[in-house]
Amino acid sequence: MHSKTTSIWSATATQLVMSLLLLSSVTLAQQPTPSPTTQGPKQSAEAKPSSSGVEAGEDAGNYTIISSIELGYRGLQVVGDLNKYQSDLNYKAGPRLFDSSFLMKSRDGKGRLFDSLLITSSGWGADPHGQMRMSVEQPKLYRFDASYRRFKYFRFLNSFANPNWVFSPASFSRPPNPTTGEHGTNTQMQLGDFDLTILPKDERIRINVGYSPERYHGPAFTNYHAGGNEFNLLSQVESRARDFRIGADGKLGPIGFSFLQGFRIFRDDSSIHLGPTPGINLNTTAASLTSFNRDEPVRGNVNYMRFSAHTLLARKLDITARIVHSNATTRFIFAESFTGRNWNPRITGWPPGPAVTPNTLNLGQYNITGNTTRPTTLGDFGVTLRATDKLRISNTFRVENFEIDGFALFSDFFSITRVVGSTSRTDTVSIGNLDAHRTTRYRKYQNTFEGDYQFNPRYSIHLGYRYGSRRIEESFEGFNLGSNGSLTPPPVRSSSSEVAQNHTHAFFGGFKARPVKNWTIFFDAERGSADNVFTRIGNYDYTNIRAKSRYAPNKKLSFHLALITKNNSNPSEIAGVSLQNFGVDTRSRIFTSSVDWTPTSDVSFSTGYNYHWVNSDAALEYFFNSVRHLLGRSQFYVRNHFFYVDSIARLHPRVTLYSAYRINKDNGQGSRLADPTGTPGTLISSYPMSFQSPEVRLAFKINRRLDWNLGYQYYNYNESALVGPRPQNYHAHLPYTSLRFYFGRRE
Amino acid sequence: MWVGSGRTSEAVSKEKDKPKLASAVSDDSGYVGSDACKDCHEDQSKAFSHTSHAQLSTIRSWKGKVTGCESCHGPGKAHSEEGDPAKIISFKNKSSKETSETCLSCHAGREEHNNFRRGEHWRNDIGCTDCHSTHSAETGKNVASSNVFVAEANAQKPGFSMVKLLRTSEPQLCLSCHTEVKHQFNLPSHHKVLEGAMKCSDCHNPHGGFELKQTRLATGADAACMKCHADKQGPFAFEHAPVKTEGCSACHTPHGSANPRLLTASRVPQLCLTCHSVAHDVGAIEPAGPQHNLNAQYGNCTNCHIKIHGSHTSPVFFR
Repeated sequence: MHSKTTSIWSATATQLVMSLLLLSSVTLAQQPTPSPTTQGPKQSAEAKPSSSGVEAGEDAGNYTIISSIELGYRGLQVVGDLNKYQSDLNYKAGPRLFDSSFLMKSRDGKGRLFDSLLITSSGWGADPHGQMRMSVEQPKLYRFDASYRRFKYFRFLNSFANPNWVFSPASFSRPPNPTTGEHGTNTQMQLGDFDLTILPKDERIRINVGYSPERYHGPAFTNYHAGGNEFNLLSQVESRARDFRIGADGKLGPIGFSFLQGFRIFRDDSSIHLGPTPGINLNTTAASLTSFNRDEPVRGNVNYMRFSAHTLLARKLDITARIVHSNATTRFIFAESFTGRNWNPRITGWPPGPAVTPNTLNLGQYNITGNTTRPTTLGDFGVTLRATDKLRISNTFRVENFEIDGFALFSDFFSITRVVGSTSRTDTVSIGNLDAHRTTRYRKYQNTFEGDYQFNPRYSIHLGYRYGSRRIEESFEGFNLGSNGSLTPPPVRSSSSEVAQNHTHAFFGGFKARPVKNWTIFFDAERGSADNVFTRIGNYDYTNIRAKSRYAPNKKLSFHLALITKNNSNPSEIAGVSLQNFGVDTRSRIFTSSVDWTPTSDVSFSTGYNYHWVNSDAALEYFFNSVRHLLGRSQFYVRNHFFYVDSIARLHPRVTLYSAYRINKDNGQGSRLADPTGTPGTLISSYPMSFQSPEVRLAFKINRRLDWNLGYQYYNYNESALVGPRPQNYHAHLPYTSLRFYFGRRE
Repeated sequence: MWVGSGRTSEAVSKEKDKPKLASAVSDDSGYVGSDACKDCHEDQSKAFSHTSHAQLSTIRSWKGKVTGCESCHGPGKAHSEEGDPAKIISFKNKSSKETSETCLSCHAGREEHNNFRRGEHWRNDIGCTDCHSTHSAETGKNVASSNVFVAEANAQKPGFSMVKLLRTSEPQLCLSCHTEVKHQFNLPSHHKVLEGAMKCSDCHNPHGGFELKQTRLATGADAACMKCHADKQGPFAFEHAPVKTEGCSACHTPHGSANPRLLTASRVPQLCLTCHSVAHDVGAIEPAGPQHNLNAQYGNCTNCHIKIHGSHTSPVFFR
């Protein structure tokens, strides 16, 4: 379903009332009773406002607690393209934990189990992304940081459609519904980070232990180009990674050190098991599947080590060295079997005899196994000399080295039955143990020499020069696994090797100036060029400039202005001849401005405007209607305006109003249109759209422990027909109501 | 101890040679202990007493060393006796670098801070106290606000920032200077930073580090992206080399984009052809016709070249 009106006003009046009643009872029940203390109950800090935040909170034994939790219910109505809405936002109707924070801190810094405990969370329930973070510390003994996050990914877009496509070929009998779902996903990712530091404040040694699990799973569409057709396959994605770390840092004499040894274990058990599956080309003479099974288990691990050391000699010379080494390996088995009709096995010279189609594919199989290793070494060495109190000179050197050795062993098997004359004939073929070896070697040296001078607390400058040298070598040896092999002539081994090198020189510099006490200006620029281009979308001949201004006449008011420009021009060459017109030229400009104003403690106001401008122009070759365009141009445009305003106003001692409006509006390519048939042809693209979201929230203070919130958020997405043949527009209404319970509220 | 200002440097470093207990009674060293500061600087002392800095004097490895107020402000005897502001180190009129030097005298040497003196923030004269409040940050107040953390007001949630003594919580702290990325986090496709599910510091090391853009490394020497996107980490038998050599940002805009999948261009074929054209023939194979007809209904490179980040089984990333 691609476009529909969804009315999920599931938040009916009854449900809302019941939810509120339930939440009220829950939250009121959650009001903790202050713990008895030997000193007797103390007056709440609320009664004594102070400039210091630690004055807030309520006493609980030897601790002070500041906490709030907001629970509520959100309704939802989406009008328009539900797939696009879910791809962008994916908020659902239902109960929701908007956010919560719990801070428990010992009053005298002598907590027994812990000195401070902070737990924050947001986005649980009907949200597509939820997080919970915890930090607990007893400075003498330990510190424990934990986070758990969950993301629900939904992607079902037609935005990958080819704008140059004209719907006409009769052989493509599927309606004009370009590519929707070919990369659709409805997956989840769960991540966690758990880090324990023993003796966190000890100067001599601190022990670190960490664990990070990660899981990515769910249904996802993938595509397969096989048998002479394209198949949209529903796969079950399932991958997991577990990362274990142990290390220590501390001080040995004048040298501070840090050591970490880590192990990541990775496994991927994604699979596809399908019955009859038509190809994208529904022509009856085209290939189709009657069954399809693919298992491709991958097992991997990364062992890594990091050691760094730092010292300061004679209070003038700062030296830092770091070495990182990792060794990553993967082992994989790819087992695929399928049956179908009208299959073109794409094996040169097979099956023998007359016409291949129509046919029945009794069995097709691929079995591919292999393994890959990637040892990586990274070394950094930095030195800073304080030449005078105002002048510092630094040098940083890096060397990076990795080699990827991939190996795969390929076998296939096909059995096809055809009608030949008045009888049927079955042919089989198998090609086994074709090996392929691919190696990528990469080496990089980079050296940065820079200096900074502090004229006085208000003015400083920095200047630097960065040199980089990179070398990439790619080599191949073995059989071409891109084909299925051939009978005549039999598959042959081949080998190839390619080396590319480049050297980059970059100069950079900038200053910070504070002409008057409350006005600060930052400026920096970098100009770099390389003598060879690896990939044209990288930065090889560039000029980046950044200027920022912050003016804060007082603590209540501040103005920001910034301008960032980036010019990147990558000339290319043919047969060693540099041709400026064959290059890639990308220029971007970002202008930002914002104002933050808090005239009184009851009113605050933030607004800003950003303009993002991108022009990208690349010479390229492409095919269009079987015509090869040797010198086409590819252009991409961004003309995005972003405006936001946020305000908070306490309308009454018990009523606070939050209101906001945010809009991104990209005019994209404007009136420019692609002309893929021209000479030279031009491919022009952009993403003209507008995405806006007003929001309002009223908070009613019921008592010092409870607020009742009423809110409404609206999203409106509109895209130009230039984005795709069927705009994926939608607008969504998200009303919500919630209760926020406070403990230790600071007024 | 290396402190930027000559005066600070001398004042503190000389005394380090003969360390005294912070709570020690005044003697020739000029140190009087933090208790002596309380009488006049009540608010700061009270706030500071709740920080982990204040706990150092109770930790064994810090015994015999200067901790508390005087570890940063230098010996306070003369100041406390005469009340003369000039007789104590004040950071009010010091540059960011000078102030940072004081912090680094203890905090350098840890992996997180090791390269601060050569990082982007240092280069642009952004110092520790531009983001951290050494006397303990405000814990904030609760106000009605959005659940999308675009506004400064959303930082006003108690406790978010007190960990690590931040002046305010992420991402507002970072966005207060890096306003240029604010709009990107509001585009349809973005990393969920404003929603609170991610932090800027998950991917960037605000204290420098050796990487450009101050990004972090994952699992040893891999790009920060691989921390979460483990399925793209490989190694693959058939690598798409630019993924490793140029990095993810060659094709993706990490903060946010209108383009699906955070791509730098709205059309996949145009993005791919930028490298894969005969106009440029180093390493990138140009697609041959007619199967790469841009007028085809499904003329999208990644419809066939599915495993574009690298494949174990197909040199052309078909499976």
